[in-house]
Amino acid sequence: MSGSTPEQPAPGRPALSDDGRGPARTLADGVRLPTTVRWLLAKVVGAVFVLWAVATLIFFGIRLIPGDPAEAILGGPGSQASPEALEQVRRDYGLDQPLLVQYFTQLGRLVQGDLGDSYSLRMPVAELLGNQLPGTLLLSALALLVAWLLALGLAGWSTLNGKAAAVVASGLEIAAAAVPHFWLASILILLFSNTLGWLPPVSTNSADGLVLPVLALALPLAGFLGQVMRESMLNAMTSPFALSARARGEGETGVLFRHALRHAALPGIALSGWAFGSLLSGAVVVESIFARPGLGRTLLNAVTLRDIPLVTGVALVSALAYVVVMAASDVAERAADPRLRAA
Amino acid sequence: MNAKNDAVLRVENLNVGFGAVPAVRGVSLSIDRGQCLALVGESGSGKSVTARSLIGLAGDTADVSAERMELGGESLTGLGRRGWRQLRGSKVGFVLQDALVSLDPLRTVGREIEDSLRLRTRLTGAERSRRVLSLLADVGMDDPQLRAGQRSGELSGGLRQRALIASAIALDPALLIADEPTTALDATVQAQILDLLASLRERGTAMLLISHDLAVVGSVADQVAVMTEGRIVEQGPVAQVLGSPQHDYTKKLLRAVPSGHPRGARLSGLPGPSSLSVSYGPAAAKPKAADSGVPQSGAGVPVLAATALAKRFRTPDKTSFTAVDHVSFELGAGETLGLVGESGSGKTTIARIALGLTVPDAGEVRLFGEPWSTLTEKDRRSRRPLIGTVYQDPLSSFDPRLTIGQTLADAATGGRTLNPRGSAKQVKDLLEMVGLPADFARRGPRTLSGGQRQRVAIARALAPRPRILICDEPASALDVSIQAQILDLLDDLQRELGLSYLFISHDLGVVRHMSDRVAVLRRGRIVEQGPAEQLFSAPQHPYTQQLLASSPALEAR
Repeated sequence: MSGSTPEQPAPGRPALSDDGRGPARTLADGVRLPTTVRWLLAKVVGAVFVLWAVATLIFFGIRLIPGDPAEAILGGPGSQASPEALEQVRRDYGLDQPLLVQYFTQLGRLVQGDLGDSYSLRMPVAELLGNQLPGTLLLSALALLVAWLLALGLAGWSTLNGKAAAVVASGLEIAAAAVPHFWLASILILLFSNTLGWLPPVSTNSADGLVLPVLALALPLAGFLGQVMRESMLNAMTSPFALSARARGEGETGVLFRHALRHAALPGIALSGWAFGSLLSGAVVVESIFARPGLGRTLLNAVTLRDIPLVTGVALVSALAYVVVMAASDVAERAADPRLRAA
Repeated sequence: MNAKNDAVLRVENLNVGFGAVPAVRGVSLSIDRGQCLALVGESGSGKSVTARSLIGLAGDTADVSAERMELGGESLTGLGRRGWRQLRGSKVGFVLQDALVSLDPLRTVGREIEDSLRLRTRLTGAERSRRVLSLLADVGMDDPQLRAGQRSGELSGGLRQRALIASAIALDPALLIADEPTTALDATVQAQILDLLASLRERGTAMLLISHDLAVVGSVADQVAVMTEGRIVEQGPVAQVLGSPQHDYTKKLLRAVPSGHPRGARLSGLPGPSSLSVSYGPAAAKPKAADSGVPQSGAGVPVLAATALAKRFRTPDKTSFTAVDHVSFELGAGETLGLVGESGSGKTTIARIALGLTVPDAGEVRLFGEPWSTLTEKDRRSRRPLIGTVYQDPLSSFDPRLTIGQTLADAATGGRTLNPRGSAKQVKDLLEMVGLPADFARRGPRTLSGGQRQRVAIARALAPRPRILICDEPASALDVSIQAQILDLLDDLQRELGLSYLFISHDLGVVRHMSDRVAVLRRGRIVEQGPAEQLFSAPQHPYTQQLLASSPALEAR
């Protein structure tokens, strides 16, 4: 992905000329695409490469699992399929071809956007994913949002309330970050569904059905994000520019909102791409516990049943979501931090 | 301080403590309208704490008390949070050192300046924007419209400082406090900022200028108060305090300023060692002796010679930047060549090329008459002990996990061992050479003061027994009295050991004091080169003349 790295002035090379306007740009070296277009191109090329790599890894990786895919198509080892039926299926699905031929056939289909049919559910994979994806994306996006709000809120509160608050906040963050999703989900169900009866233990897309799974996903992430955000917020609050702002008559809350908040958000934004990826994998666990339909549960079932097209589809969609979110967090980071835009 | 009714600021018996530690003890000040009082002292003297106490920002843990603290007739003692906030910005402007970190890097300078207006006036957004532009023009910004939309990282040091001053004077405060406003700036830029401050004073603003630099103070202030250990030890008109200082501490400070003191004169006031009792190996004992490891610097052959060096770097937007352009110089045995220039003039790149760390695009460096910069690193390695280097900030160049003894043992054995026991004698000798007690070997770099750390850095540089030391701003981060000691030490070592120095600094006074010959750098080129005294007393090149004119200097007394 050459040309896509954020360019910062290297030490020892002044980024500015004497008048501070930056080095003069010359048009002498031919027509160059605008920075944004070049950046976008690099991202797209990178994304295609990632998707190809994922498809390839899945294709060969899934064949390392013992068992016969033809058997899986006919309903698994328990189906007692006749050798003739298996032979027929192998021919139909091209499983009798050499591995490389199968690989390129599948790659060719993927390029055309054809994800194939699910072995186990006998439905086009694309259609299955279309049904499952929105729920998982909604869950992950809400969890990310809630994690951000919790982390920023805690950071802001502890920053304005001195040392004791910082200790409390740090304790909460570490506890939240250390808790595994499955344990947290169980505790939340025990507390809010079984004991208090406020919220349903089974998740739907209705508002109250989303609260517990979102919290189960968001709390550990909030703890993690909170640790980095609080540190950079504290750094900003004790920095010389914050002192300058106070000397201009800005109050503590003003310094927090006008200055420190942006500085605290920067590491959070940088981590959000990664965080979204971890939320997608966390969703596998949480969706199972809350019996919530979604990508995670689909993937779990597909792997158990050796449903190669479905596993490939889920992996590709997750990879694509990850790439898109990483690019979005890159854009957000550049928007929030002018220093990252090329000088 | 006679016109008592005209006093903008009056402070009597100010005491500030942090817990049981007193930081300011019984300070009394008074500044009239249009007057500038300079508070001078070294780091830790309490001058910044004094200034921050005047705007209620000494910190939550500070215990501030004063018999009297008045601004424009209003008492500041007993002000609450809200009262202080009303006062800041509108009645007192505050300018901090180094605007790179004193302006929010994520916000435009226009927004930063506008903040003062937004907080304390009822101006509309459009009116505020207009006012910001006129403020930027007032502080001498060339293109206010453009500058208002830029962030501190996009501005040069001088423009940043101007923007910060604009934000402090936005509400036309009666008092402007400037805490080391020019410390991070080059001499020519410093001169411009000092002019700007002087013009504000002429408009009637009272000014409290905080500085460690006596030369800066001499050029701007009317009154000087000299502070040490939280007390003001001497106070009076500038001419009187700097001209005929009464207190020992003031005398010591003045003596430590290198400019105006001839080469070889001691700055620290401490006696030099009569002779080093430690051995520096065969090279030092008999400088001209032919030794297998040490090349002979035959008569006339310079120890280090650079011919037509050039180095270009690619800038982020793919254009190129010429850091060093056709630079030639020679360094003789036992001689000091001063390299002086402002930031970005190529000083450090030249140092790196001389050390064989950066490969020049053109030209050559020869060491004792033999090839150096053209060698491969493998061939260079055996001769690396001949050149040592001392950096500006030794803290970042020490491994914090190693003790001083380990650091020195590492350097003395060429990285073969960290165990100071095997080379205990060497470590002890090295520490003695730089005037430190032997038990420093057990200490870590963080437990040392800036001056002690720089001494260890020099000891480390001397450990492989080099013949040449490259000193890149070796005393620039230090207080003037500590700087004086380090410069004296370098002088002594040169005399005792016959070392040659390539001495790099932006500080004209320091370079003049230390160098036999001086080369003036500008944008990667040497504009003038010659014997130090001749170059400074009769500069030929206009740039050298400009540099000398803009560097505020104390007259030799």
